[in-house]
Amino acid sequence: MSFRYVGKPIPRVDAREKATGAARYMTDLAFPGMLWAKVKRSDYPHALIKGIDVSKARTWPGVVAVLTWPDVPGYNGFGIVVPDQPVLCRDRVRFLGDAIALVAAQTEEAATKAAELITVEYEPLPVLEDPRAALKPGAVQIHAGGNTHQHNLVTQGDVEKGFGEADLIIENYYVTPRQMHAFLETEGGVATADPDGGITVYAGSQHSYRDQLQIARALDLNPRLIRVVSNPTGGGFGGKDEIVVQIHLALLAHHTRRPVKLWLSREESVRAGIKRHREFLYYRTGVKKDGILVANEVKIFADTGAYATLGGPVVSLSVGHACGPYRIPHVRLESFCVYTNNGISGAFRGFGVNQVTFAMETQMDILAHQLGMDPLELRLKNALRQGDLNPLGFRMDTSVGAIPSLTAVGGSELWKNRWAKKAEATLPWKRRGVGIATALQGNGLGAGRPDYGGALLRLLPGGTYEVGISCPEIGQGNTTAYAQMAAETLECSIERIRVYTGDTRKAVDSGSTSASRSVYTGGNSILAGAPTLKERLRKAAAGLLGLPEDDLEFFPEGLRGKSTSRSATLEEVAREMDRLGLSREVKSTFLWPAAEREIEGAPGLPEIIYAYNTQIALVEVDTLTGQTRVLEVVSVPETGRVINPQGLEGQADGGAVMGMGYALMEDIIMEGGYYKNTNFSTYILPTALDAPGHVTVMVEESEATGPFGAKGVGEVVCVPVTPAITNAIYDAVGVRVTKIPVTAEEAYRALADNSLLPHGGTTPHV
Amino acid sequence: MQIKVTFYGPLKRYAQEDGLAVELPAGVKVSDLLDHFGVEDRIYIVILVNNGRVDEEEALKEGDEVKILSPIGGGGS
Repeated sequence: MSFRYVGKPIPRVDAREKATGAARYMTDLAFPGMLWAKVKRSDYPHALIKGIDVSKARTWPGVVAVLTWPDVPGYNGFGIVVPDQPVLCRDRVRFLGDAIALVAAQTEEAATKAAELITVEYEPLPVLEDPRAALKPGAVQIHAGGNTHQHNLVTQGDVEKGFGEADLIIENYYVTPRQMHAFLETEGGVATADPDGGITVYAGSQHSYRDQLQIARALDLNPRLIRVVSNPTGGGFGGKDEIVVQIHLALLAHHTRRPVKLWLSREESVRAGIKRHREFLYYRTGVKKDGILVANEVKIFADTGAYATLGGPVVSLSVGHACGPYRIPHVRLESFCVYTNNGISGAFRGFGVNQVTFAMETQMDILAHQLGMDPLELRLKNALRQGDLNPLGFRMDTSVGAIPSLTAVGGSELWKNRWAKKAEATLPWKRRGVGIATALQGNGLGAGRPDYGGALLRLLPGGTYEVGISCPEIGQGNTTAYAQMAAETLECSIERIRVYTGDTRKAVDSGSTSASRSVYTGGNSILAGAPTLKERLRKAAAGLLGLPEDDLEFFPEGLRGKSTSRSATLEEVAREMDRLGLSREVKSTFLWPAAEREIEGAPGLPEIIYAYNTQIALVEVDTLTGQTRVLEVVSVPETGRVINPQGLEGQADGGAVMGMGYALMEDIIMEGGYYKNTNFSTYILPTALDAPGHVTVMVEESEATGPFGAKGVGEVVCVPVTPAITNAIYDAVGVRVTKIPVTAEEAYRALADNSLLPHGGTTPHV
Repeated sequence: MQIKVTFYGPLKRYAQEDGLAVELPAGVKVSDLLDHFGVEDRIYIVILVNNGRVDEEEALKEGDEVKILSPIGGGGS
């Protein structure tokens, strides 16, 4: 079937205004009489609060309001799953990002000074910085319910029986870092007080309707009185799924009845915001000598920091994806999501899958080497096919793209020519290697609750359609994909589509931009609503043109007779609809397909739909300095039908570099609950100079439930590249990486004393 | 009139059964349904009527299917 817009590299609808700087982000906004806000945060990673003195701050010139915990009119807590994080701390702080007081002043300088004048008397408590230590008997309890936020245990088959059948068993420990989202726009925005007693909050986020509820809970206001606008958002990657500034903004606007702006510096963003979970992983994997996997035992300790946010669901996904896209009959998968006094970890692109993919794909590489098998062949031999039972015991009924993705990567120039590429090292002390890894990534919110969506479709009098879907545009291009799918479905010119996202007043609640769900949700919501609206247009046009409805067809600017030259523009049809009393607006609903029941021991699992990706990397390691350069990456995402190939390439390019930073550079280092690197001077990110040559090969396995066959692409593109790189390092210099990031210093040490021994770390972490 | 109600996740404490049939007088709103079950947290919940998101003021009608759940999220992009 050919399409006019779907599958075409349509330019982004927001390209011009973003490229020229004309786009106004929420932190760009200013209103007359606007105040500036600052947050007084904790001075200790863990302490009791014995007293808070704001008297000096209140009298500082220009200060309009200083708020502490008694000023929170509603529930003094927030958190997507468990509201365990205080809006303003009363008697205890649990990490350095905890907020104690808010200041609003005439100028940013006055607000900053006043916040400095707030004095807090503390009684320090022991600091827990390692999740394994936090589980030991006698450890200080960070929350009343203990330090285990969530424990998962999934078993299938008989894991010891499986190991008994294995010809080769390998056992290794892995450690992954606390990665920063590093969005361009740090958390911030403006809140205004509305004449009706309500509040409007303009702040970038990934689910404006859920923010609305969290704000309402803290302010004890009817959610109807709160409008949240979060589009455009200057990058999210999961880090703006949770509330950071929104309640503080709303609280200050509520008390002062004036516009208030709060915008975190990069340092404060690092201190108060969300990170990727640091995980400690134990893997024991058994395989037959022909390469068939028979058993996998996994134990994960995840550092979720001081508060829950989405830690539980993240670590559930670690468990759900711990075995990769492979058939393994006997598994035991256990995880502990643990509170510590470190910075909070929560949602981050990949959502718990990156950590386990690094570990599992390293296991696969080790097995291939020990078995003397080609690493691609080993993966192909075990890869899931449609209809297989996966390691969780759930049947894979939807499209499964593992083998098509692996097969396509095997046909790539880099893979076919890898021996020649390895021989092209530029200097005698530089060694080259090629590594491979593959992954799957669940799409949608999984089992146990409806994952809902919806779209507002409206024909305006001028003949333009409005499409309102709340999933915010966070830079990934869903606005353009929505416009393409709406134009395709409504059979009109794409210039006649106006898309609204991330605004509780302009779009119906279609959930979050997360879980690789926004294109699938929005597209299906458009498809659900368009037929009703088109039926009304057809009825109006039939009367207008004096033709039977079944003799009409849509054309880019309106409707026309199939067998006559008579036509009506969309403007004319809209007028006729008004005359006939036909509504020009439709609100559609959509529910994701879901498993009938959750997997025992793992809330939220399984997902029904998965995206796949195989990535290979060519690296060059300088054996004198330990520096690794990633020269080439090939990505083969299988994400269903591609709605916009240019958009997919953009996602794949960015994902490859993000996964590369995770492998080689990025880690928020914490010692004793204190951050050691809070800006890009010390938190090293890949730059354009580090980016490898990148080729994206698209494999399209149409997903029957997806809009036009599409699945989600946003996350899986950044996942397997990390172990592809670390496996390439092994291929280059024979050093097995079990702890990332493998910085130049780490690699140099390993090369110098061979401390990173082949086949795994030497110190048990569990 | 009869409507069907399903609670999800921790909210199942209000009713375990999926699609529980409830008899209510004609003209009631979602808020009346929440009263019927004694739902305490009225702010931080998501209510779907026939799979569309509504608030407490939404009027219910015969045959409506109501789902009541906690908001959640996931993933990063």
